Amino acid sequence: MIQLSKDTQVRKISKWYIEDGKKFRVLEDVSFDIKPESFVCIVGSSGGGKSTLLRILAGLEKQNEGQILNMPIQLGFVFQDFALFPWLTVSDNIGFGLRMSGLEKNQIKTRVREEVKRMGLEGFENTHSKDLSGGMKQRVGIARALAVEPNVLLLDEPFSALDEITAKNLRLDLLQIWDQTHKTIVMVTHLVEEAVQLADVIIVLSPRPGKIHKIIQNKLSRPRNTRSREFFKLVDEIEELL
Amino acid sequence: MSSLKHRYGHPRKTHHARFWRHKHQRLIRFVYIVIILIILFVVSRSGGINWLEFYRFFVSSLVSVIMAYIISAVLAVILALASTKNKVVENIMVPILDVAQSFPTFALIPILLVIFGTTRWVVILFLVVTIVWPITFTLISAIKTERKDLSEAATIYGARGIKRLRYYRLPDMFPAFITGSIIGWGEAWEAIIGAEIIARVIGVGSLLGKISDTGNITNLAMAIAMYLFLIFILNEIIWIPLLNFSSRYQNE
Repeated sequence: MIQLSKDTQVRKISKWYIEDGKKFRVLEDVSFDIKPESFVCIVGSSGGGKSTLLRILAGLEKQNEGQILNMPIQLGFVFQDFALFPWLTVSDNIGFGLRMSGLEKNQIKTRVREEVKRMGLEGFENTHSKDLSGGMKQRVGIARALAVEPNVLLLDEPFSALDEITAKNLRLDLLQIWDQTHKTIVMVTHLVEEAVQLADVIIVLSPRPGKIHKIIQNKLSRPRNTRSREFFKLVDEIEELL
Repeated sequence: MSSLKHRYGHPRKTHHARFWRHKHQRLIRFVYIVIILIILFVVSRSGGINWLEFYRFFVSSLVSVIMAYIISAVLAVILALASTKNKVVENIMVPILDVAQSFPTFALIPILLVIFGTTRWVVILFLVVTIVWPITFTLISAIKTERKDLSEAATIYGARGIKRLRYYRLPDMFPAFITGSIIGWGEAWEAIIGAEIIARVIGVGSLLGKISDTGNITNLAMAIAMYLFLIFILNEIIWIPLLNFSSRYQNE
């Protein structure tokens, strides 16, 4: 499995839109590093440019200024509203990226089977996404992202469309995946507790335009006790920044 | 790698790609089609219509509609894809298409008659101009209102060029294609009557014109009823099942 060997460097990223002759700044002078195999969370208030930053990292949007160095080509992206293709079954959704890459059918089947097993989707292979619960849909979304064996997994508020119990389970599953696969993960969230529970590095963005407010190294030992005094202390510290 | 234990109970029943999903629905449809057919058959025994000729002419019109539909469908997909390719092309093409679709189609018949004479092609091309717009504009609307994250997922996972068309764009616009087709198909059956009468081409339209000329209102009513019934049957066996099937492709 190819992993990142160098830090990905995000340097002086700025993004703005021009609407009716007015300039709307979304991101300003954003710089940080992503270490290989680290778990990075970007937190900030709603409309603060977090998702735009992630989309720039994914190549879905172009920044107006700045550059990203050493960003791996192979990316997995997990969407807030799952973004599963309704005309495809669970298996075909998971294998979509592999199919586009021109992989042979047998190899696709094997890879899909692995991801189905990993994400606990056995028995749902031929189900269409409409017939799945939200939690199962996001499992398919994660499986689709992992199937392409990405160097970096980007997640855009992946649990915010789910109920709390499902989200809690999926967070634990994501940690287990991270532990097993050693992928670099960059996740956007507006939930500070989520970031503190999951991330090694928490990037706090200030709103409108999104600027780096603080980069926090989360030293809490794993597995993290989400009820501990230290946990709440860090949550409070970040919430005060927002 | 060990599997993550899933906590979401048993899989729901999966559904398969079937045009006819429910047996009882199929049975009910079959029964009422047979009943209408019997009524029409009984009434037609007392009428003065040559039904064999009627069906022969209907098939002839059906061939025209099918040919026109195939040409229109291909043309509409090309027009919709081309006109939404990017913002610049869209700003140029959509207003042109908008003006073109408002052109009165019957005004084309004299031009087509001059070019093709009294041949079936006059009717087919006239129908193309009738069918192509509803499909084109439904498709354009579907492309413009596509779910952004689905399009981005296709991009992230490498759907480019012909693969993007085959595995993302066409399936994504399939429900709109069926809706537009149903409208276009319906308009074609309305337009073909006048077109066949004006172009003097053999078909159900010219036959209805002929029956109308005899002044026998009962025969005319019978022929129109049969005409509507046959179109209804075609809708039942082609479009309604396709519409049900396309709901699978619909975004949530």
